[in-house]
Amino acid sequence: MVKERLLRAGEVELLYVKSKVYLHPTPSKKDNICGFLSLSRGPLATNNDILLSFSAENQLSKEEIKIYNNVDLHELEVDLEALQISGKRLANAVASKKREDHIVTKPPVSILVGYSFSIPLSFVFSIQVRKPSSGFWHGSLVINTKDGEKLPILFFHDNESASTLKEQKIRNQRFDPFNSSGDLYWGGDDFIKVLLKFIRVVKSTVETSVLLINPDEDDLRNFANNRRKSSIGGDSSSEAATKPIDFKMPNIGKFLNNAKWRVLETVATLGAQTKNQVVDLVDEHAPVPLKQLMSKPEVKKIGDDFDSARIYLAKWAQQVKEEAEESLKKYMLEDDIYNQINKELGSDEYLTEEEINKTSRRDPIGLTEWKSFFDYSGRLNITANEIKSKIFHGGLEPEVRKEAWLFLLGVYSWDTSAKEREELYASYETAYSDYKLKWVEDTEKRSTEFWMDQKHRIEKDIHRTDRNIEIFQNKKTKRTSTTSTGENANNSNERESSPETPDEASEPEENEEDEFNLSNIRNPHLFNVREILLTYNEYNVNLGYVQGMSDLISPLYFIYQDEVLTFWTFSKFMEIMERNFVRDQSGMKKQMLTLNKLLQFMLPKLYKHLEKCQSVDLFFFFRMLLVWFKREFEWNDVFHLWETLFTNCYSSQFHLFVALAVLSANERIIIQNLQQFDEVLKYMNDLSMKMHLDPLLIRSELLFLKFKRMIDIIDRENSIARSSGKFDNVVNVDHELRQLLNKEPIIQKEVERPEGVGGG
Amino acid sequence: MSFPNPVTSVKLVLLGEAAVGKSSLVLRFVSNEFQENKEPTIGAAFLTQKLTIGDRAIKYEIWDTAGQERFASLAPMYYRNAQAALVVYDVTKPASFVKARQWVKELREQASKDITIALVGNKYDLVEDDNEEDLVRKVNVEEGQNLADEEGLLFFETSAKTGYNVKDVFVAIGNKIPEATASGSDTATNQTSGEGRIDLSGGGNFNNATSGCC
Repeated sequence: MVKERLLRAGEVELLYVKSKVYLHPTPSKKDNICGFLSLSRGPLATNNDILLSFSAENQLSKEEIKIYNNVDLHELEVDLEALQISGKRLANAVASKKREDHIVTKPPVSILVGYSFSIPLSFVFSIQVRKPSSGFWHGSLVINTKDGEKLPILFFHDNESASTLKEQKIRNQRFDPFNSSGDLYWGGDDFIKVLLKFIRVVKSTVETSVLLINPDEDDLRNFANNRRKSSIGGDSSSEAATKPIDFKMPNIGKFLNNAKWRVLETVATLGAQTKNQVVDLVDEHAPVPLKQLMSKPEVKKIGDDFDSARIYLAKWAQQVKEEAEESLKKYMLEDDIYNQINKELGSDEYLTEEEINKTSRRDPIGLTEWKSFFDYSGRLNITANEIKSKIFHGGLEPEVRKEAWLFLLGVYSWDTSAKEREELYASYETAYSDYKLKWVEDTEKRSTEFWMDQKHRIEKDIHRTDRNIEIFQNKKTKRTSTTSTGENANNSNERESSPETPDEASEPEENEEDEFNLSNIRNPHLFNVREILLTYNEYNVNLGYVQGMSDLISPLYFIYQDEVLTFWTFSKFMEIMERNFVRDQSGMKKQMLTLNKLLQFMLPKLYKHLEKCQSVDLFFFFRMLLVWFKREFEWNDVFHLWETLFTNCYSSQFHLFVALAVLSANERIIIQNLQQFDEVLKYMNDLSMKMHLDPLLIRSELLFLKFKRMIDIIDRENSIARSSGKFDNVVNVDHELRQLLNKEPIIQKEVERPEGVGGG
Repeated sequence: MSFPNPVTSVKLVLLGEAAVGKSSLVLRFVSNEFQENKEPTIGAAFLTQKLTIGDRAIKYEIWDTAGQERFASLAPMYYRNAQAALVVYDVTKPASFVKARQWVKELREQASKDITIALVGNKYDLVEDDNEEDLVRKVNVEEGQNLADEEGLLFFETSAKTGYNVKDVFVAIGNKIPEATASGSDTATNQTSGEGRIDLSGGGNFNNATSGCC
């Protein structure tokens, strides 16, 4: 806590400080005088009494320099907010306590003491703002007093001032290097911004770089005649201080903002390969002034980090998009989201407040929390359902997944102790190597056409799955398995037993994939993934490897980076996913059909529209359902979604509610804009990588709860109808819909491979 | 648009074994890009591209299907109403040519009678520098040409990687498609802004939808 106390006489509270402001008394650099520009307020001071001061560093004590620097660097943001409040409640603010770390000795109140000076704002007539430009390397302020006195010009050495550098950096990182008038940000901007909070500032109509401070009518008419007036009535000026500020920044900021939105809208309608398109888009959509700005040499100067203004611009546009989406996300995750979705779904007709409250999100489970679920023997001390509900409503931190997914996927059951799990692991290890040996030791099997085809399929696919993830990329240098850690050394021992081990001696030192020999895999991780998939091909003989599985295994391998654990989590995962891959596609067809029924039941209006567009086959969901939205969400979101689905918290087919939520979230746009089969299809395909997971999960949950309530209501009405003999009124709920309430996973195994039918 | 002529729409489907480069051909045609190790297609992707041939504007509506056998049962959905098909194989993979033959047969039996089929031997860049001792090429040009002649197909060898012949395939297909097939009334299609995207910039509507979406 920062201490607060009342100001003593001779003390002021610093409101604003800019460091490294210089006076240039002579043309020689070595005569420059370095100091702080500040605004400060003494006890019982009105806004007009606020002191505008320049304090030379060499006239301040070490402690005071420290305070000045602190206020400069850390307090701007905070202060601006605080100032607004104190501006409104002036009377209170003046008397109230001040932060101790803002209090310094009052700068000497004379026009000029040595090189330092200090005057009340009411004595300032005008300030000329000279931005940095090709003529002036340093931006500067020229202050004229009401006496017609010209104070020494204040030069802002932006390249030395810590706060300015910091702000510039932040702005560059946000790709928003401009101030509100559309120019590049410089050190003087903050000063003017703060000044505007305290006093009426009017831009001169004659010379726009001149700001008139609290001017009267005559001043406004002919400010050039500035040698007049010596005093000003305190009363009228304090009134002026509370008047609204007339000064308006030019509107380019707003213009930029509008442009942002135009770009955003268009970006959002694009396909996945946005990078190049964004560049074109910006060319098309950037407002003229922005383009002109981008061609300015100063702007290009920012771009040390960037290849060119064009790329800068593209990054800007992308940043805009992310920023906007981020704020959208934030907004949506506020309480409003519940209200909004509920209102839209009409769920308050169906759901109690308690049910709706249950859907609120929690923080992901971190390692500490996860550990707290277990007692000394490594047994759960809360119920598995409690944990599942926590995971469902907030997910896991990445470092928890390694352990938690073993439970979620059923590799370990929830009621085991740490010791039992150790034993289990050993048996998993043995079982894995047994399965692996089945193909490793069987040269005859490995020479069958079927087996070689399968191997080729696996190799083709792992070479093109998630290659943007670091561990799946090829290293620039030759693999260094000989110098790796113990764990990896084990792996490489294991590998020697594999007939698929590449001949390391003959391995060329290059980064390229061998186009003609996919089997020669140089990345050890890809190598492991292939071993696991080949072993799975043996473990589940009827199913074997099917395209799509490489997408399912890669997040698991990413977590474990270990053959045994990846194999078993994958095998368990495949138990529930097997129905997606069966040869006759019946599992997928059934899910699409269930989704179709669910859509009719829950979103009849959208269903009717899709019917008109010949889109009720919902074909665009094929990929989403097949690999559980793996291709639709960003890498990190995939983990979160999958662990949510693993919980079977509400339904073993919750992924169909996620699909329903995707439709529900886009219902309006589909109905209003899309008329044709291919339009709907393209729109839905292009949602890939553009959806935000959290709001979608909330929507899915609410849709489920609504669904459940609807079924309950129907059942209740039915039983009333039956008991009163009105059998005509009984509504039949489709079996597949009712099954959605079931938490038991649906297992559909592949049948034996018919003679002569290939794999894949 | 400087073309008063109505836009001709062509529904086109790509078929062929896994990893022969179907998606890469489309990516080259639609965005003039090439991506090493492009991920396997799941289900099917849908893309569009507009091309001007002489004084005709042609909009290609392209179905890029997954190559793996397991998903072959879905193919009829895509070629059912297609006016054109690209049957793609890999000139370095004989098995992929066998598969191409099967696709041609299936199309002849199942697809619409007047479908235009182009046989495409992809990955030409790999065989460009073939020398006599060490042939990377496993499917000869003659084999491809013979099949094309027998079945009355357009025939090209292409490289999605270098772009060799890619556009030519689509132009040739466009030339085979009769003038403005009933798309004059199809205003939504005509408004499409090209480069594989559907123009949804309905102003405020989209904003609403965006905020409703997530």
